[in-house]
Amino acid sequence: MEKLKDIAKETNQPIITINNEDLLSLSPYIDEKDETYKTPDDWFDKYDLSLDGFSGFPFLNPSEEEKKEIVSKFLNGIKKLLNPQSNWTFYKPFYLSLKHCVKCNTCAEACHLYIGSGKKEIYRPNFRSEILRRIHKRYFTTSGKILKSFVGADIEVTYHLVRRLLELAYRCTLCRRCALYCPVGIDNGLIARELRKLFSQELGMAPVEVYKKGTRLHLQVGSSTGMKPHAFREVIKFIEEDIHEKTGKKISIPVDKKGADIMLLHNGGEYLSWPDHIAAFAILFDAVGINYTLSSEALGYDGVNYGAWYDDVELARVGLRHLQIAHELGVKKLVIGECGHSHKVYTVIFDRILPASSPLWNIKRESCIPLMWEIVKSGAVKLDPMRNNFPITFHDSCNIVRLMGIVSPQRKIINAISPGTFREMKPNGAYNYCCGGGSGFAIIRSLNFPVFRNKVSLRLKTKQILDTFSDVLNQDKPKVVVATCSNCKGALRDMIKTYGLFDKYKINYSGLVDLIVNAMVDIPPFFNFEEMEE
Amino acid sequence: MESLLMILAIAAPIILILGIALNFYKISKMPLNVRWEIYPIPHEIGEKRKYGGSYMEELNWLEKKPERYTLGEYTEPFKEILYLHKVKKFNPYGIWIWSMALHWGIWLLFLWMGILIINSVFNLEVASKLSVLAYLSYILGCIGVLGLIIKRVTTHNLKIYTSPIDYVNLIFLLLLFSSGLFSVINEIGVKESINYMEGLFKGSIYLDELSSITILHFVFFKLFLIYIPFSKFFHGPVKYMTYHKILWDDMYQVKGSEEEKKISEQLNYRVGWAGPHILSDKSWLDNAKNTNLHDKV
Repeated sequence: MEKLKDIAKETNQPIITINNEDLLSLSPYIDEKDETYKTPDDWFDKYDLSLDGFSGFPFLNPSEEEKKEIVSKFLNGIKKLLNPQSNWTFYKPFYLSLKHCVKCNTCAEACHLYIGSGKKEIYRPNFRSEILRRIHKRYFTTSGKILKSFVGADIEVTYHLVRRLLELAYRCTLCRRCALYCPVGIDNGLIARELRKLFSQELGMAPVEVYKKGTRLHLQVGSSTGMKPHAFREVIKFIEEDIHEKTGKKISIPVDKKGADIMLLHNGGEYLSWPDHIAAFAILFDAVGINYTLSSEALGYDGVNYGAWYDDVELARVGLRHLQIAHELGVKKLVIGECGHSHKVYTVIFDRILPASSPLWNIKRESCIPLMWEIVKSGAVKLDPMRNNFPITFHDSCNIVRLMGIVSPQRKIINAISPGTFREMKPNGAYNYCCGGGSGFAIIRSLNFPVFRNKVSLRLKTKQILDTFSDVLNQDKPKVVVATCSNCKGALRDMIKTYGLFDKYKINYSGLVDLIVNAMVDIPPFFNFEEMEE
Repeated sequence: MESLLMILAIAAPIILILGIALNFYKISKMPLNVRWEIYPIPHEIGEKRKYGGSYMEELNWLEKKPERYTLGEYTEPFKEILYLHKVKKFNPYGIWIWSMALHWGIWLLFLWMGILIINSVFNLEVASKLSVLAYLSYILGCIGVLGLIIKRVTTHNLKIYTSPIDYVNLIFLLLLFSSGLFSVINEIGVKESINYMEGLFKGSIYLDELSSITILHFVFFKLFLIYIPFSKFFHGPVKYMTYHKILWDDMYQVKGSEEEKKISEQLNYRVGWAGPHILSDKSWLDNAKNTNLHDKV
């Protein structure tokens, strides 16, 4: 890219192209020579692929009149991002990040997506931020209006630019690793989120999977999976039967139990995609006699909050409802299951969404991970580490480590329940790389966005996992990547499928509680490695 | 001319202090943002500070008294101020050495000016003995600025992000340091600087006894002070806000606190956004409670 303002080029053709040979190499582990993705020719006329040839927005191209309106609304949106009332939630960090970057680009190498793409300029964490800074200067500052390109206010807002920025807002997984690298404390991850917010809150534009089939569906029927309360109760019955079949234990999973100590809030996707994970929690909690409950109330059984990725109003609505449900059940504590963004939303963000004197705020909100460590540490369940005698690595959810500082208990658990087979990825903990599926990437399925995600966004994590297991890759035994986040597991599932990691190397994934339950001596082994690949 | 220099000498530090204070005041009056910290946080205790742990690693953390290593929060920034350790560790464009030279040029310049002031106020004879600081400052500053200009011109990934104003800022710093260097290139120059500062404090600068380059250097320095709060140079002071008030602000709300009061007020702000799912004229609280809302249209 010659100049930043190339992003406003008046063309329907992509401003960059991504070829396999440009991408971060997965050699010698994966041979991708014969794989080339080709976008259907008619898509270039039908949809807007003008950023990088990919899109997650199956919108048809608008009329000239509509384009003008979109440009006007976009500029209004910037004004609102910079209005302390309209944007009180993030005004301060956004304003400071917009104004004080020194453009040293130290953040570049922090980004898994930038590195994975072979360092394409448009994916640099500072690229979209700098575009927004220049627009802001050009339209909203006196110096920019007068001095224009002299002060960097050289980008005119056109429809093509706005449309590409919409895509570009979804070329960052909001892992905020770049903010950790910045010597000034600038948060380019936040700027990407603010852009998403502008598009959603002002223009009503967001990926179908996070808006219409995400928060809207969540609020309307009770879950972003579309699962209604009666279906939830059916799933619970199925899980109870499954537990009985597999373990011989007759466990009644508590639902809507008033006055329980804990309301356990799972990611709703787990019930449908990974019911064994829900079962593992039920087995473990039952074994130690934890007084907990699930909720069958609409929203109460789906702890996701996609608003965290793109929309403050939706974030507040979903979160408030979750707290109301916990309050109505009279529980003392809301414990967040293995879901990264839900962890951050309820323990960190929601700390300041309600005043401390509100009864809803006074429901304690905690991660399930320290609780699981207490269980393991206490010896209340008998665990045999040899049950987990296979190479294990741990993928950190950015939300849980970097964004809320829970790093150690999960490692203590794995070390306690495996016979020295745990190996760390490099880097890990607060400095981990995103799985590539964060902030909605794992669930966006529209157009050819999944190709971008699998080939570019998941790439660095794929390499990291393969590097971590490099000494045992060719050994005929399972290798397990443990993750405490549904989104991360979704990304790992896509990765394993895309690169054939299970077929080729027997690499698989699991939740943390699943690993604990696999080590429980009074039930048969929980894992079935031949069935885990899907 | 003497009067103008006197006024500038008095006004510059005042404008600097007021400018920084005003900026900080404006930032402190911004709404309280939702928590948005990032780990590791240097006020965490023990190993947590190193690996990025938090109080949320504990069960029932809200019932425990939070432990803090407050000193850590105030010593950590020195790693960046004195060593630019993140630039050293992470920057891929080889700017660390030049940036270090420039920043140390600035720190030594402030130190040198401080010594000149102490020398004048207390009528000491220390400045001439410590003049090596001035030489070091000016040489490092010039090398640093030149290095950064060359890097920004020749490295495509930096060049496309650099605006003319950024070069102007660097050239301004080059003028500041090079004028200083030329002014102290001989022993008389250092004496002139001492005399100039003494003159300021006595209320009479004898321009006839000073070379143009010395006068020019001090004028550049005063302009630099004035320029800091209103330019990119404010990226230094603003770190207090970006780090201490945002990225390291991990403290949970407490009943009856100032934070609680602010949050209660902010929930009544009008949302104002025009998206199809938003009640634009209603408050944040009203919007949040509206959980059964379907699209307006």
